[in-house]
Amino acid sequence: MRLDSIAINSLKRRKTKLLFMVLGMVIAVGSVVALHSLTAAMNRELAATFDEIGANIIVKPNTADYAVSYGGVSIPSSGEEALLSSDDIIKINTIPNRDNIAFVAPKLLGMVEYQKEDVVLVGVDFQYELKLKKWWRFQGENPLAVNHLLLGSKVASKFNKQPGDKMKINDREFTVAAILEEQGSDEDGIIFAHILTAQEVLNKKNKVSFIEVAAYCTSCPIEQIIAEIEKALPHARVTALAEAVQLRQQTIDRLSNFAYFFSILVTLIGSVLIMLTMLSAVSERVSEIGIYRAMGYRRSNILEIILTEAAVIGLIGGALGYVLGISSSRLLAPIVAEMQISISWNPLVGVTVILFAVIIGILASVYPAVKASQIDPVEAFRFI
Amino acid sequence: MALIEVKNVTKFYNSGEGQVTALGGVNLTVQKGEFLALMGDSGSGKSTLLSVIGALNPPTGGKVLIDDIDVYDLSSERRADFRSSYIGFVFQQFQLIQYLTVVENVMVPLAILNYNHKEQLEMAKKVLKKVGLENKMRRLPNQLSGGEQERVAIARAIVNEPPIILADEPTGSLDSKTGEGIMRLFQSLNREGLTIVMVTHNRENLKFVKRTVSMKDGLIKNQEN
Ligand SMILES: Nc1ncnc2c1ncn2[C@@H]1O[C@H](COP(=O)(O)OP(=O)(O)OP(=O)(O)O)[C@@H](O)[C@H]1O
Ligand SMILES: [Mg+2]
Repeated sequence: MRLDSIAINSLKRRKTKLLFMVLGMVIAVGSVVALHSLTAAMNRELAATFDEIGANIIVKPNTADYAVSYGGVSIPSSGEEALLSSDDIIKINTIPNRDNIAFVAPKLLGMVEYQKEDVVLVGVDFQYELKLKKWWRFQGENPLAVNHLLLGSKVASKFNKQPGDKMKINDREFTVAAILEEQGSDEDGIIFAHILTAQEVLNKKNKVSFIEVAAYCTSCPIEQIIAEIEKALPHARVTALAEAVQLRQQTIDRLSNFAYFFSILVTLIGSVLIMLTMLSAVSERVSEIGIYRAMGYRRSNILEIILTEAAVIGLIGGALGYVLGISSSRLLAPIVAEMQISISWNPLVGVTVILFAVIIGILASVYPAVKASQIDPVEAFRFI
Repeated sequence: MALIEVKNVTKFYNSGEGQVTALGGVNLTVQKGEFLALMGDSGSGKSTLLSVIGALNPPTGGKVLIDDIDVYDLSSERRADFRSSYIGFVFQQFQLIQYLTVVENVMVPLAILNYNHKEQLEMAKKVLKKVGLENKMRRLPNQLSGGEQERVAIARAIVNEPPIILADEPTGSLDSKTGEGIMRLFQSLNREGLTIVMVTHNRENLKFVKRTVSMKDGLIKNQEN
């Protein structure tokens, strides 16, 4: 028998106290792990999004009362809407910084009726739109002709359309060139058409709802490009899509600040809890510790027994806490993060968490252990 | 040869009602191989003297020499080492560790020494056999009778083969028949060479001991043989 088996036996045969301390540890470690893995996953997801969309610029008129949206821009449900014109595309293409512009992708949004149902029609310049939406996968041929349509997955299934089928919209004959794979976004409910045809069908000749400008962007002067477009198009609002991303980043930053604050708080509360429980355990064990001392146990032996108990509590609490934290954050991720994020088991993180829990357990028990080691051996002579 | 020498030992306690004199200048010499009984009224200082002899309780004044070692000259950690190798305690309430099994309780004094598990187990089994409990090794203390618990406490005190056993009313909470069995056990240990100092209230026990010392008000009253 060694001192650690004394410690383990002492824990095993005083289960309620062990349960209490382990539970405290599990809750503390679990919530810290959950919070951190959530914010870390959100950060990763954000970085991935940023890589995908780059720092594109959205040029749009100042409108309110939005009903349907596409690519971060909404169109009004009714009434007059302010629109940009095809001339604005030329103006953007002639700003001083035009060499930094990769391409300009105009879009026209509107509602059309098909088989007595309202559907959103979006006119795009497919050549550029497909470059912007690098992640789009579709079934069928590239929609390049003026009478081609690209259908969102919901639209296609609603009207039971396959690539190659015909569609008549506002007396105009179209061919369904391709069907977009499900995106899980507004795009699923949209019919995409060539912008020139869309302008005719929607009866908005030369009109454009908004324009997306793609910049060559690893080092482009985004602020400057925005300023120049604003100058060329005083009636338009120019925003970098990056701002939306930044806004989200701020939210996540705030969340991870909260996560850190919360972790420190929970760690402190957990430590105090363990310390108090240990102290009360020590005061219940005065006569027992007196016996060990009477039998020749040194102060350091008593310290070792108590700290081993603390380490075991940290070990169990840390391991269970890590499991609880990861499982609960996986469960909560879709609700809290509102995005698809992957939280995975990571042995290295697991070991670090357990180690951390063990250290916290030991540190919180130093004072109780020192108290225990100072118990007078004469206490062995006192009985109940 | 004097194994234990208590020289003019005093012990004062500060309690609510002022100073209490637990030991008022005790002189006592115990030879190697003696079996000594300490008698006396409640509060006369028997337990205090036993704890002072056992290197557990520093006296206010005087000296305690065991095997010519001035035990209260040692640092507290050295004194712990001294207890480990010289003293085996048997307490009135047995004072077993409730969460350890019988055999584990007996191995407690060995856990801080350089014995491997197998050696510890062998030593524990040997003394458990001596006290007649070799078939109840895996039980917890609360699954044993009072007499059996007392035997475990004795096994634990002797497992490490210390030269001195100090026992505080070891039969105090046992019926007379069980108590007699325990006294016989002590007697046979004494015959094997162990020096025993035992506090007892029970005159019946005196027939097993070699010498009796009576205490009154913190002093040794008389020494009979
Ligand atoms: N820690 C202490 N603090 C204050 N007084 C104490 C302490 N320990 C013992 N005493 C006092 O010292 C005196 C001797 O006590 P001790 O326990 O040695 O008596 P005892 O002979 O063992 O009595 P009993 O037969 O009842 O066990 C008593 O008056 C007791 O109240
Ligand atoms: Mg007493």
